[in-house]
Amino acid sequence: MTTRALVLMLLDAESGGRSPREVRVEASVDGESVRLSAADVASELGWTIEAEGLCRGPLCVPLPDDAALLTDDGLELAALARALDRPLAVDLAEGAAALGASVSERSAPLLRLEAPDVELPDAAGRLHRVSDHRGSKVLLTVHSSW
Amino acid sequence: MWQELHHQLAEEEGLPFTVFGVMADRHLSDALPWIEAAAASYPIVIDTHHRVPELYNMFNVPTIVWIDEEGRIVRPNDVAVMNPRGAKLVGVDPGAYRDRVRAWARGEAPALSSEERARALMRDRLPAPEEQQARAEFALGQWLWEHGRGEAAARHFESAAELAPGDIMIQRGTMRMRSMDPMADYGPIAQGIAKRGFRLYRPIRE
Repeated sequence: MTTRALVLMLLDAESGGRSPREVRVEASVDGESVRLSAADVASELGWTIEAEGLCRGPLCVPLPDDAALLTDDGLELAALARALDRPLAVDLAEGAAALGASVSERSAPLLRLEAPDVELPDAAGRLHRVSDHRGSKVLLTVHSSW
Repeated sequence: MWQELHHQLAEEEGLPFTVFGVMADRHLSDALPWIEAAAASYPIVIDTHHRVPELYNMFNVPTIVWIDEEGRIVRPNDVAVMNPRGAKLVGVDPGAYRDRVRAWARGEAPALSSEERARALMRDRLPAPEEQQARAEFALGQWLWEHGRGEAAARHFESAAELAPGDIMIQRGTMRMRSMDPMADYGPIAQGIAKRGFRLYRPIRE
């Protein structure tokens, strides 16, 4: 078991910024197993570990009934991702990981036909939001130089 | 590609309408020549982390979404290309598409025949678990690439491409970061993607 710093990117539904939210956590690493302390899960990810499972405000998501997932060293990161139904990509050698968005998080606004909002910079660095244009019809066009 | 239409509708006719351009590119420097050539009077933003493709579940470029005054999607992920060669490739008549946008902007015709049609098209355009997994790998790869760790980044881009072979945004958009040429090396990859049953373009037939 070793401890190492891990940069964790969070592709939260609510973060409409130019890049995923980035947090720094201390991970306990044992082979393929990566654990985050309950304190980091609470302060950086916003979930507290309760008897009901992972909780955020009134919402609780059950954790599998497996004592190995939650020890004094913290909560298994992969178990956390599974409980939240979110994809996880990890590169332990590089000390970085990404916790993606779940299918249901991404699908919910689309099924309501709500245009997801995002804030991104133009070439001069000025920030623009799709929602700046409420009151106008918007033709959102996505291109690429390649 | 959209400036003429934007100018006509928003500036000449003064309609509450705008084009909102997004360049999904690895870096501003890649997008700059394209942005300069567009000489647009509408905003064009740079999206290095594919935030828009992720939030709207877009898998290729160009992708077009029509959004009404209240921020509602009235015509989900659609495609049209204005130059003749591209138009033939995607199978959409550019003149007819421009007419359709004009009629919508002027309030003469709806974006689609009905809201139920928009909902049905949307249900057919929702992300799958493996696509979201691929996007997590892409996010990790993009972060590594931006932090000078190109070899590690390339490994995650490869994983992303294997997880979601039909995601051209990832397949082609990461080629330069995997020492590949998105022009010269794309042809065989596109053929492979098509052979596996994925469509490269999904225009709305209406």
